[in-house]
Amino acid sequence: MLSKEDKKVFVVGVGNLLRSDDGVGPLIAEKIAKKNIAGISVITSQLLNIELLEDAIGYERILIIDAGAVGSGVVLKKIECHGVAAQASSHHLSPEFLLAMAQELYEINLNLYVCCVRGQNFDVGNILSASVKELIPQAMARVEEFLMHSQSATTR
Amino acid sequence: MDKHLPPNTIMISPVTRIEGHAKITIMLDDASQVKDAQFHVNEFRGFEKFCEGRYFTEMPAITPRICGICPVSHSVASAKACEMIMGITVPYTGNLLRRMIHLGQHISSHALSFFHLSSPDFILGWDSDPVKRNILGVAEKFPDLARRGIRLRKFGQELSERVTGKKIHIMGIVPGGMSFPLTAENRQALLDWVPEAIETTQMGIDLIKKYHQEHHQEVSTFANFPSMYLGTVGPQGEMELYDGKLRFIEADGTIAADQVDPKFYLDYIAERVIPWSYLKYPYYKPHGYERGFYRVGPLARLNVASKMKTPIAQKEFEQFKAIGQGQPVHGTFYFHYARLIELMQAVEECKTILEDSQVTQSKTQVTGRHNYWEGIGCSEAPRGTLFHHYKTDASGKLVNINLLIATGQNNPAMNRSVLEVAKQYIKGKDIKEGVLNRVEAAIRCYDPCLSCSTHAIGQMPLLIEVRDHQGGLLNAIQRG
Repeated sequence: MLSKEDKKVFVVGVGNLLRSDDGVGPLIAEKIAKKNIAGISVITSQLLNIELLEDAIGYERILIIDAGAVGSGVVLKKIECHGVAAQASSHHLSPEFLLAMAQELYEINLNLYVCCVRGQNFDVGNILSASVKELIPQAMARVEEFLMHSQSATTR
Repeated sequence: MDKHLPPNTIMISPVTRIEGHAKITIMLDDASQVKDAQFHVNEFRGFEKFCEGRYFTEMPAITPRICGICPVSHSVASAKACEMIMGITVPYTGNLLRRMIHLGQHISSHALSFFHLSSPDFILGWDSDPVKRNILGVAEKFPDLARRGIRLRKFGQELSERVTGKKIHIMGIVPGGMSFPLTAENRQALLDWVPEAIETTQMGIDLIKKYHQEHHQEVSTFANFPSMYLGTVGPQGEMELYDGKLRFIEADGTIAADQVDPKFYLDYIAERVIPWSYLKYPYYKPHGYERGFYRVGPLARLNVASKMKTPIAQKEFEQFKAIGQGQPVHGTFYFHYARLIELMQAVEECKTILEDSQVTQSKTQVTGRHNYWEGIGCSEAPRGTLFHHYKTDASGKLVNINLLIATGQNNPAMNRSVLEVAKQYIKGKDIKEGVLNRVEAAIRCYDPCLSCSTHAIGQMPLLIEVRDHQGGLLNAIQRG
């Protein structure tokens, strides 16, 4: 069991490895896990599930790495839930919704971030599209920078 | 406006709070009354083709990726098909652990379906603010219930994780058994959690029964239509979720076929293609497609069963059976009640398994080779009976795969349910959001999984359009 001091960042790689670009989240997360960075816990999941809340609570920051069907390139941003019109779905739980649930149920303001890598192809298959392959080094750099910053940051 | 839409059409696209993408089209007649309804599934999964050419033993690891909510059922059905190809039998402890993990998945899936997807409708009200009519709204008003729902779902996940070390895509289920044993420490941790799981499930049962009492008319008439049912039963007709034989019953409750070995499923089930959906229309083959439409899933399993396997679930089962007064319970809303009774059996059965002295034994797997060319495996997924059928070449590579999923089998019934609810609630052009929510709720009763395999950010908008008899847009609602 990690102590509070050890719980810096909880990384969740979300996506399906057999739906082409949808697998980029778990793929990046697994690369991060192999680095064995102190204070960083990594899991992968096909879906963003509601019970992740119980795992994530206690970490200073939570980072979700996911493919996107919208936007462009790699975007790493903090999630806010001001006025979010949350929509529940067992298939698609948004990060904003997770944030709102943490506030509502556990009275906790999660420091929740998302690293979104723009995908092109979500058909059945286990090969990433060329554009996503090109984005992986950029995404890794952004995530590693985020993790390094998290490690050096003072515990709030 | 969609130029392909015929006049007098209402379209709900996609249906919310279910997995995958879907839309509902409701056709009105000249008098603005509901004439017909179609439930469309737009996703094309393609896993059957994708897997051709792979070695058959890869399937228990590949097929769980079809669905993030019921991966274990796919693993179990797949492993069983592989074991038929190998001609091997799983050791006692391996079967115990598989059964427990499978029940854990039912617990997680049913908890999610009830506490987080469906309960907002009847806890907060059908016509309540749609922005709040979700688990967030439930959390605001009933935080303890919402927290308990999350804990129950987590308990189901723990049953997998404590054996395999993984939550979602179970790698422990392999042809021949389980690749991991259960430790004594993990066994005790799970046993300690059982009382809370039973208590939360009972809260859910009490909640739905209270709603039934207070809204008897709505519940009993909601998409109430006769159909056949299919489910898996044990030797004494007891409700089975992991392993057993198939039982089909007629709409009047008489048994049409009993103790059918799942490997003969093609003698009883046929499918036909329909033009408006990627999902086919399965039917009970001996009756033909016009008379042979049947339902699977919790309502079906309780309708076909003679009894439950555990005491608390049996007590509730007797009350459930009383609703039908000797006949099957046809009301679609009763799926929720049936789901919770199943959930109770699943929790109680897990306790029985965990108390089995052999559950922590290390002999969990046997090995085998490619001995036969064909294998068929079956399991009861949370949404209904699931079949995996593999044909191989001489080297063991797959040449043909047929996956008959529960949601596909419920497709005709979902169409019929939408039609019934639309006819009941849509009267003329002035259609309020709460009415459309009821139409969607008819689909949510089945908790369908349409393409639970991709979820990328930005892929789940909701658009509800209401169109008049000339195709003009009367109302549009966008969510999510």
